[in-house]
Amino acid sequence: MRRSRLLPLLVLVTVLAAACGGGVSSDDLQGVALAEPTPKPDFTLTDTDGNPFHFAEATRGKLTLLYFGYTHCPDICPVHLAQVAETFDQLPQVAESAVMIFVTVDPERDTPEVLRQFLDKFDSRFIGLTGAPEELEAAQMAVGVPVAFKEGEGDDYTVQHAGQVLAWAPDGLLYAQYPFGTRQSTWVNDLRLLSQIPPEEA
Amino acid sequence: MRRWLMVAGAVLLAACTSELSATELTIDDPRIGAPAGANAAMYFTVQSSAEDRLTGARTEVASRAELHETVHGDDGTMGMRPVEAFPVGPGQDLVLEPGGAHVMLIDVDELAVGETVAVTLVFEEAGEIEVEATVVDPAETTGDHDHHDH
Repeated sequence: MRRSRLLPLLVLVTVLAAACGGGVSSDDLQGVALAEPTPKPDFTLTDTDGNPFHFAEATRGKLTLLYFGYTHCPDICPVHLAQVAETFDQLPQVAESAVMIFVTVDPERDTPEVLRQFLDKFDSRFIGLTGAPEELEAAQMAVGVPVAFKEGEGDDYTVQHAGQVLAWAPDGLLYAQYPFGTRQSTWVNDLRLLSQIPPEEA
Repeated sequence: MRRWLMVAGAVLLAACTSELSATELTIDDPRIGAPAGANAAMYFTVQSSAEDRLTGARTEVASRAELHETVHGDDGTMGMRPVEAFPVGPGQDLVLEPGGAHVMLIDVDELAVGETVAVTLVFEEAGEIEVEATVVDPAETTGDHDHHDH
């Protein structure tokens, strides 16, 4: 009932948003912009408090950054996370309504505690997610990144995983990806722009 | 007489050249990204006037230090693999940087930004060289940061 009253308003908002383009064109983005923004997928994993985290629902209306990595990764993962943390520091208002989600691809070693400690070194607001191997694989497939795989034997194995951070604007659309090597200035430019895209839902 | 001079000149030239190539090896900007997890990465640039190879590293702040290289898969994934040695030589600087070659410090101690850490780098020809690496924020390991010298 409530939904049907809202529907015309939603249509109007959508039309307006399309007309104005939310004030952001993909030309203004410095990341790797998608030709056609795509909708946010859904998956459920477990957060570092042990609670289920329904990705689409929990991030609705928020600028959402998602990255698959692992805490034993010394080279690219810390750089991405430190850059996003630095951007959150520089843009406190953007940070307030944004979420940075780090999904481990190494659930064996990355216990919720290990994950939490690792993320707190960057920004205690960062959300850490884990799950059973098949849940993590399903999440990567839902998002459309290549599925991570283990390399090497013994305790010192490494994990080969997607190198990019994905960014959905508050309207729930994926606008751009940020491969390794993204400059700090790109992060600041793009997160500011993406945060200005209004949420689709009233 | 003239021939004599030419020979003398050649000898002098040879002497000077060998003098110049007497293993001039420099290591610039040794830095370690502050570890958040069990491992950390160390980066630096090596210039050498002679052919050489970096074959290893060790430090008291980590159980082990290994030479690693980040590899970029065709499918868009990134991973790491151990490397036996990194070559360096005239006209071929060895650049260790995020997303590429690095020294991986395994099971590393807690290190705070601003701290310096002694690391011994092992070269095949130049031998062991100890450097003082500075611990920096991982975002600043790339050499792309917005901080400027005042």
